[in-house]
Order: sequence, then C-alpha cells, then structure tokens
Amino acid sequence: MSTATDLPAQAPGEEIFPASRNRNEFSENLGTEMTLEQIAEKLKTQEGKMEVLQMIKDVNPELNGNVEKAGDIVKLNTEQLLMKESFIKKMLKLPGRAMDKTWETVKKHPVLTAVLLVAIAAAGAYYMGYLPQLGTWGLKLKSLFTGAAGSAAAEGAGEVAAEGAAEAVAEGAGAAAEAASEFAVEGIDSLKIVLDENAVRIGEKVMDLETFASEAVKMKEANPDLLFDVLRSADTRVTDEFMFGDIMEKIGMENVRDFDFSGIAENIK
Amino acid sequence: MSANTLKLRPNEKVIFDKLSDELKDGWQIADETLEAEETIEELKMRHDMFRGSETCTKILDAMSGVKDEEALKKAASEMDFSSLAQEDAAELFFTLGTAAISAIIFGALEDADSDDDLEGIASLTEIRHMLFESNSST
Repeated sequence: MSTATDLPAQAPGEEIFPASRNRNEFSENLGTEMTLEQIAEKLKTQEGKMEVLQMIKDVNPELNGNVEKAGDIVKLNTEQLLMKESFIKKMLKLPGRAMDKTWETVKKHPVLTAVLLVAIAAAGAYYMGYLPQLGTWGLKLKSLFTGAAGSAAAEGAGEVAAEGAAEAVAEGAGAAAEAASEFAVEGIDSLKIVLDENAVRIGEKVMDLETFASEAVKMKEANPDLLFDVLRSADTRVTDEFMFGDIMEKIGMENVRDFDFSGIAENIK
Repeated sequence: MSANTLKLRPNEKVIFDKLSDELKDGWQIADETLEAEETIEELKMRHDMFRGSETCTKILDAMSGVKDEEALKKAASEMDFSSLAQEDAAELFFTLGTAAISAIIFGALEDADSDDDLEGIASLTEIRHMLFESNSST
C-alpha cells in the first residue's frame, strides 16, 4: 500500500479498532476462537452484540468510551470479510481466458483504471481529499466514490470517448426515459424519485425541469442531504447524463464537482 | 452464464445498441437487475482490509507516487496486469466496488470495436454480477 508520506495513510476508525484482513487476524484482534459466522450470528441479537462488545473490551481495555464504535467496526468488518470470501470463491471459478480478456479490456482504458487504482494505492484517497490533486480525473473519482454522480462513472469513462456518451444517451432518450420509468428509486423516507424525459417526479408530484431546478436551489440551502439523494438517485439509476447536466446547470452548479460533499457523504446509508 | 452474454444495466444497453449490427451479431444481452452497491463506509472498510500480493503491491506503489494528471498518464501507460494472480484480481475488484467496475464497463462499451472487446466486457459484467451477489449475501 502507499508509502508516500504526503498521502493519507490511515482510515478513520483504524485507530479505534483495527480492521482484520482475514480470519486469522480477526480471531487475534478479537481474542477469540469463534468463527466469523458465529460472530456474525451473535451480532444479530442485542444479547449477542453485548457479548461481542465484552470480547472487544476484554482484549482492548483502553477503549473506554469507544467500545460501541469498535463494535460497529467489528460488525462491518465481519460482514465485509464474509462478502469478500464469497466473492473470491466465485472469482476463482472464472476461466483463465475470461480473466485475460478482462485485463485486455481494462488496459484499453489505462487512465481510468489508473485513477481507480490510485484510490486503493493512496490509502483511501477518495475520502481524504487527496484526489482533487489529480485534476478532473480525481474529482470525478471522488464523485464516484461518494456515490454522488453516477456520471462520474459514465462521465469519467465517457471522457475517453469524449462526448460520445452524452450524445448516445441523448439520442437514445426514448430508451432512457423508458428505463427511467422502470427505475423508480426509493429516495429518503418513502419518496419515489423518477426522472422522465422532461419531468421529475417526486412522490406524487410531477415537476418540469424548471420547477425542479428552482425547488432544488431551495433544497440546496435547506436540506443538502435531500438534494444529494435526489441527484444521486437520479443520476446513478437513470444515468441520463444529458438531463443531469441540464439540472445541474439550472441549479447553478456547472458540474457535480462543484457540489460540496463535506459532511454529506457520512449520511449515505 | 454463457460466455457470450453481457449483463447490462439500462444505460449500458443504450450504448450497446449503438454498436454496429456486425459487431453485435452473436452476442446476447441479459438485464443486470441486481443493484447492491457499496456504501462509502463499506468501501472504506474494504480499503482497510485490502491485502495484495507483492506483485499487486508493486503496481499499487507505482500509483501511490502519482501527484498530477501527467504522472497519472505516465503511470497508466506502464501498468502491467499480466503477472497478477486471479486472487489479486479478486482483491482489487472487491476493493474497488461495483461503481468503479461499472465505470470501466461503460467506457469499454463506448470504445468496443471487436469481439475481443465484447468478450472482455462480458467478463467484467460477470465479475460485477458476482460482486453484486456477494454484496447481498449477508
């Protein structure tokens, strides 16, 4: 991993309780011989959770008021370790030829791939504010990892083919609109947010883009989290860059990169 | 799943449909209906859990020195994945997450001009699908 001294080297939370990279480390860090599955099972009940928290306290008495937080880290760590094992098992069944072809495809997009790898190499750069130093690519990646601009994916990749993506999506507006109607997304609470060809539907309300933009300006002031969620839903699910750009322009943000994500990413669940 | 099937999301299908009929011939499209994307907290955790081999670490170390777009382009041109073991690939894709894989798929689809390209994209969509499945597994 990163050896550069000017790059962020540690993720938040690591100082509270270490993330285990495998089963052995997990057992060592928790001071238990219980399996991942057993711990995962315990964490499903309040009683079991208390038991796990006690294990954490026993092995790290200096945690004091941070035991709950450490418990959250252990829970997330447990889930991710199980997911990782499941994924690796599946990946290893992929034929060698498929893997070779994958790398060939990835290598045809070296800059995008490099940016993605920087996110790993730079020790969590994507949430530590380092990426903007990489110019537009870094900013797009930052958006990608905060989940804010699906078009960071589309746009980031799209830059390779310049305006081809926007054009293609715009030309295929009919299909995109159809997709939009199929991809009604749960927003915060019970809001359903749908982008149609020329309108935005939020719950029962249907607004044209102008109205939505004006509402969004208010929303930006009053409830940035909601706006963030709307944009996130709209863009990642419908991925109509053309419309997204239009909305952003109307809201007064030339690009999603102008959006201040500070403090908001923490609210993504 | 068949090796000549691409599991695409609606926005990707729009791009695929724009490819020439000749190129599309013989390829099947299936809807990618899973959407268990990672949260930022999960990606942070995956980063902390990352454990690459020496070869993998070497590639990533080259990336950690990148400080601007010029250096990024240079490092990109020198990347070599051929020596990576399949387990390393799994580590990388798991850590990157589904949104990043989608970004590569989208870009690759736009530039696709051969069956080889589509074969690579088919593999990437399969990898993404497996990751979606694993993301929903607990």
